[in-house]
Amino acid sequence: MTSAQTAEQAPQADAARLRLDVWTDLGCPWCYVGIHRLRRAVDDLGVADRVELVLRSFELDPGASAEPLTIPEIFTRKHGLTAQDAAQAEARIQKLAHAEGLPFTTERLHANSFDVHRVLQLANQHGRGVDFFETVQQSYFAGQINPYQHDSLIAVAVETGLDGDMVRDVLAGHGYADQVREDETAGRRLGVTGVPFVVLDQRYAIAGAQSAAAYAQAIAQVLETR
Amino acid sequence: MAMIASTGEGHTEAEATDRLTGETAAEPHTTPADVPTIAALIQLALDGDTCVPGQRCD
Repeated sequence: MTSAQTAEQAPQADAARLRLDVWTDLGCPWCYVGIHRLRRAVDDLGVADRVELVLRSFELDPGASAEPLTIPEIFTRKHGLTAQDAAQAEARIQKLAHAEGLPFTTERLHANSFDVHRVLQLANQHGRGVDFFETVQQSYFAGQINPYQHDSLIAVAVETGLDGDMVRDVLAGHGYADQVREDETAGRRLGVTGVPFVVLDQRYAIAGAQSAAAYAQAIAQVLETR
Repeated sequence: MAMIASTGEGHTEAEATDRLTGETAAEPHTTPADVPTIAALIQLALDGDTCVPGQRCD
């Protein structure tokens, strides 16, 4: 096996199942909706036992400060919009999220997501990655938590079955930083320039959030080829 | 089939979408042995909503 293959494979690969690798970041609203739809597609097809979903790290803003800004502040400072413009800009994704039954508010924070990814990598290693990330996503987009505070992140991790002391130790040090970087390197090798980005069976790619029906069709199509 | 855009070898987005919707019958010419570094993926869809570094996500 080449080093490239190693970097592109997540820890708990199960060859008998169809691998769905999803590059994602916490602050990405399209990832929030897209992952939800992807999971719905798997459920709708009734193939949950034939599919393995693996979330991979991708930082949209690796240079972001550890100190959070509000989303309206980000729109104003980085994109030159007013707070009202920011609310209007998010109206479409908010509507789509609500249509999926997902909470969504502009009253959320933005900061450096590297530590979230480090805990995601830890969770992946313990088979809790999807549960952890979806719980963080939902609480974050609901405006219920500041995921950039370690205590909040630890609380979510514990809620999804991880040991709190283990998570605290990781966050206090540099644990799983290499795994985050490896995912990002693997993503670049694949040509991932934005998220969500789904790779099915390490051969087929779906760029950007799709409808649940489109995800379902793609999954069914790839399952037929195996 | 459509290849990943960054390779510069790909077909059009429309063709990729056609593949997703099943309107084309082409079979992938790659096998797992062909893609040890996954330099080229078969694109099933390209046009989803995406967040890109440095750009707005709306």
